[in-house]
Amino acid sequence: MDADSENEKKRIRDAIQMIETIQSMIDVSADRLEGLRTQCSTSAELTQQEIRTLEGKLVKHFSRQLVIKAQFVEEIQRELGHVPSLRQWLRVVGLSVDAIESVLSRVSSLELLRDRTEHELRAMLCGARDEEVRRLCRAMQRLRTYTEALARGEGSAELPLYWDSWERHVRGSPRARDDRNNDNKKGGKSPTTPINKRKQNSHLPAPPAQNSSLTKSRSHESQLSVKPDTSDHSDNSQSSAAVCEVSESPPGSPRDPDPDPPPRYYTNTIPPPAPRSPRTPTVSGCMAHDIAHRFTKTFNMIATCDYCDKQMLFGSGLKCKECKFKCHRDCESKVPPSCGLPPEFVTAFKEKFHKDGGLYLTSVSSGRTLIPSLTPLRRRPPPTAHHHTGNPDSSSNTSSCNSSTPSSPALAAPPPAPSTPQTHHHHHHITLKQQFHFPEVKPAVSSPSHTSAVQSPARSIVDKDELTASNKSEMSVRSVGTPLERHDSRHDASDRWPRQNSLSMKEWDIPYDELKLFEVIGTGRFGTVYRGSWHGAVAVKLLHVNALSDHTAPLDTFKHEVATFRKTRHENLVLFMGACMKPPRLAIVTSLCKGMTLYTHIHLRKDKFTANKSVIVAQQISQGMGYLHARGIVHKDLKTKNIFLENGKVVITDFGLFSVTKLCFGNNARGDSLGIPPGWLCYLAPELHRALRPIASLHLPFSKATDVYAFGTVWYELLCGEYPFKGQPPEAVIWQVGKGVKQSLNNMQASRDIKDILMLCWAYRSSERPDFPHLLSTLEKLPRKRLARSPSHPVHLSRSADSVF
Amino acid sequence: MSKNKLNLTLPPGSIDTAPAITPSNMTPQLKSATATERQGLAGKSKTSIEALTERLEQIEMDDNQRRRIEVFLCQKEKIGELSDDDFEKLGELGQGNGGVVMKVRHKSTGLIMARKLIHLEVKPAIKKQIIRELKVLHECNFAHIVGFYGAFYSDGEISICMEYMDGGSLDLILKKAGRIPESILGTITSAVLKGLSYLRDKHAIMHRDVKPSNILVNSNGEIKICDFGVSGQLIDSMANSFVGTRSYMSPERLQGTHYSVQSDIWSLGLSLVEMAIGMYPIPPPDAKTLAAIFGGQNEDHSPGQAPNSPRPMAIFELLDYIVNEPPPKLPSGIFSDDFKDFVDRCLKKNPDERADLKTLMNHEWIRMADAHAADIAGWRKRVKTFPKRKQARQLVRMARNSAATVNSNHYWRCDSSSYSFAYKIY
Repeated sequence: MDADSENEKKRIRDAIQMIETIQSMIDVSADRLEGLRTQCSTSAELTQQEIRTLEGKLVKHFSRQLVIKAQFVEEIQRELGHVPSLRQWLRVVGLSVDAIESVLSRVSSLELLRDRTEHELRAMLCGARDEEVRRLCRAMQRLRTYTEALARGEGSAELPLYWDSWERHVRGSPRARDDRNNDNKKGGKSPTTPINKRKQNSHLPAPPAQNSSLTKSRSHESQLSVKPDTSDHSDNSQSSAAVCEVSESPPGSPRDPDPDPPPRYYTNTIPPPAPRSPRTPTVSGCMAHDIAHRFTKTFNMIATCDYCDKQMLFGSGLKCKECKFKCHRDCESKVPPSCGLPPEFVTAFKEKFHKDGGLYLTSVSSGRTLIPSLTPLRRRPPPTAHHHTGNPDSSSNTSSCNSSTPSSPALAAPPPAPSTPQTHHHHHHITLKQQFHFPEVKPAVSSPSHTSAVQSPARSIVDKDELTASNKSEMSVRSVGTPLERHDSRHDASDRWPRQNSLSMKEWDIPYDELKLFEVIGTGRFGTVYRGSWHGAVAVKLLHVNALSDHTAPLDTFKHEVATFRKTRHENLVLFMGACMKPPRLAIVTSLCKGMTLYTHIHLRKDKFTANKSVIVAQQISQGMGYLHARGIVHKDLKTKNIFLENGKVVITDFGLFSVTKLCFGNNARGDSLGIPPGWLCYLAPELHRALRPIASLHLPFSKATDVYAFGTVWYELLCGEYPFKGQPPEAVIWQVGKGVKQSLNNMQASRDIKDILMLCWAYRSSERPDFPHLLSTLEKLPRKRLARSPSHPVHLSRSADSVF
Repeated sequence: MSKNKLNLTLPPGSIDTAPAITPSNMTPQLKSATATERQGLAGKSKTSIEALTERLEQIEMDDNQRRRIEVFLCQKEKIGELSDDDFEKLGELGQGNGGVVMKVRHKSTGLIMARKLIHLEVKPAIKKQIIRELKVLHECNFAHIVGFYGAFYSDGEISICMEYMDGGSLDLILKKAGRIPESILGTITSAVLKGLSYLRDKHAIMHRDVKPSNILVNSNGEIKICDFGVSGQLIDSMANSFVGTRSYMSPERLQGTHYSVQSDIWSLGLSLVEMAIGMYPIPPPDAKTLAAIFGGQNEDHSPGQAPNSPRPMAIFELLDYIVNEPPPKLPSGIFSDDFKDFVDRCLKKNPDERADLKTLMNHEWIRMADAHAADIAGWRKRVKTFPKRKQARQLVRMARNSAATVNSNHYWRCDSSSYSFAYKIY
């Protein structure tokens, strides 16, 4: 009896633990998905792949939660009423806030939603965009499918679980093909036909039928060109505008050249004409340079506008994240999509662009689906990178396609980009190939069935090396068209994605044997930090592995995190060098911070920071954090113990590790109490305090704003030399902060401005807290004594600053 | 403070002057109070025991209690300095806050002790300070204070060796018994009040962590408190603290205002309600739950329906309830009016309205309890024999709440949250 209840208890505990763990993975994946949708160029091939992978994972996670929960209804339901979170699911699905609210007002749990029919779902979302309806229906269907598969014990079965939740507006987005692929039941054209045609298109002399279809497409293209499709890929409103436009247009023939946005296939059963169309404009308007800049605001940068050649003042400028093109905000609208184009070409391009009144730009819009895919890759270091570091090569040359595809009717199109030198030819092919890793279909392959295309991608890496001069020319054309193939071959997505993934992962995978570990330099919540050696001095964070070995879930999270870190290159962030990703050896390798942590300075050595020094340190922290946030990474554990001071330079470490550490730690978490490491609470924002539960819970609502709150505490420590709420028991801190009480600043000797910053960061409402760029500019405006110069960017503690201390 | 628009500042210390015993000014008082005794201790052990015995006579204890303390001191005399090698492990009593509590045998004397190991990675200076601060415990010899054998540092861990209380802590007993009858609670309360007064009067210490898991009993029927705040440095150095589903902290402490011994009174009151009704009383149980608890029989030991664990609340929610909602009280019609009144006086949210130690010790309910001392040992023995099924049922209900491994043979084993504090010596 006792043993029974014991077992039962254990079973429940395990289940809860499991659900929590899954929840944490959902959180991680959902964040990432959100980031991919909003911050990456969603038309990029790589991004779409990643979104799919994440969607698949999320469906699995949610399904698992449902299944586990279903086993325990009576005992746990009470406790886990909120898991799985319906709201989170709807966000994951990709619904707008309004749509989410409308669903939430009608359905209270995911289980209930799952049981609704498609019709009911539609009714629920009346008023929402068709695209949203489509997403929800599709995602729910995926969820049902997988839950059932799990219930049958076929959880490992390979099912297509994605629903393509990115915003699309560019014609020729892969969605159409995807639809065709997954929704054959919808009727319409046999999926194989268009592919077949396309193949013939590229490799064989086009049969008459082909020509006719192409002609149609060209007319479509002309329509496209009228459409004011400027640059922003991730703009929601635009896509919805596009949808409206479509629904107003007369339901023409299947060949209707109108850019056919996805929802159509659902609302009416017109067979998807898309498979063919994307490539047409590509071939015709072929490869004109058309990469929109990705502007971000710049701060106190004095520079000259690259567009109008006039001086730009502080804060009035924009700068392209990709190519550093700078211009006035006012000039932004006039700037041609010349991202990556070398300056000398920009002028010519500009002229051409304006002469053609932008027609030229839009006529090649489909090419954009490819070219932006450079961006994720460009961030990665060699070996792939060195080819396109001279980015003009990769993106400016547009003439090669035309000259190399004699069979293409598109040759008739006007030759674009007059200024591109032919010398780029050769290079161009190679770079294209390497950037995209496109599966290439050898010329000999002319099988009409798309199954052949399925197999081809597997060879692409090898093929790349075997590339011969003869098929180069075809390659360049094929690569442009390849997004189609990529999707045709989606059946083995699970196979393909890891391959591509592993390419990038491999660069960061450090074999454990190559690491030399020396002494322990610290113990964290997640594991132990060693001084190590790997091509020089490094810090190795060895994760506690025994906890991880139980199941693979944390490993997944770990890999996600690692994928996040590799995006970070900033002078105030620790350099991420790689990771050991073979369980049980999980380690993160970063550069070795030479100085001491701010914690050591402040709390152990009791070093006094003057106001000036504090400001400079705070500025650097803001810079690093601003960068991290711009990259979509929430630190989650910003504290003085994670900030090093190296000869006056701030280095922030351990960003984004929180969920990993909690995962590792979660397993030895105690049943009904929450372990609170010393000093942790005072970094937590009120909304986090309010969310604390007696179980070591993984789903705390961390956000950029909670990082800002934590920054406020760091700022306080710098100024006061101690933690806020010093000496108060954890419960007292939780209640007070949760209630909006702030550490009294009455005894603090500091100027009003400085205290104001503190109060802003500690604002009760997260929306009232400033962001880091704003903080940075506020900090810069602080009056400073005896400072020889105002620190330029980046803020160094160089000689002049040092002399201040 | 955000209202301080002009940002006026005061010279440091001008607002912090707390009238009562507050954490900040307690240590000096404490030192002065014990300086003489420590000298005696440091000098020669023989004289020290004489000095202590002498002191014992000034303290209110009956002969029996005094004799027991003398025996304890004599045993301690033989032990001398403790070190890691002196012990033989007998078993684990519980997973504690900063580490484990072991049941150990002192090899040379054969004495059974409870040894709490707290993992600390601190500088030697801090280490020494902690050991020094813990020495105050040598002077805490009283019938209702758990005896202290010594503390030492080895291998990154502070060990605190204490008297082994074979009856376990009240939260464990409560789990087994369901509820604790009023008569027993009277005797327990009397003992706790005496213990708290002793700490305050003789050592100027406030307990700061009164709750069922810090009240221990043994098979002799003795009731002793442990885990009171002696070493501030130890608190600061502890790696983790744990916050659980229950909090015994007074509203004024939660609000961060200064607090005093009155805070301990709140905690005592809250503990009493919990032990009387068999569940943590925040949020208060509804009528149905109470009916279920007190429904069938009024037998002291059997909870008609095993009480539910409190519904899961966010920590903040629970604390906010303590601060902003009416204080818990005993259900009417089940307990004596004196008991109800006693609890009400303890659970006043305003510390100034709350009864003080002296008032409470003279309370009718306590005087009654002293006059008719309950048989704690006998009751403890009976609890041992309580049927298991009730507990099992209860446990299923507590499913999510407990990562507990309650071993019926071993009363020291307990729910992790409660044990985390038992034996935590501040």
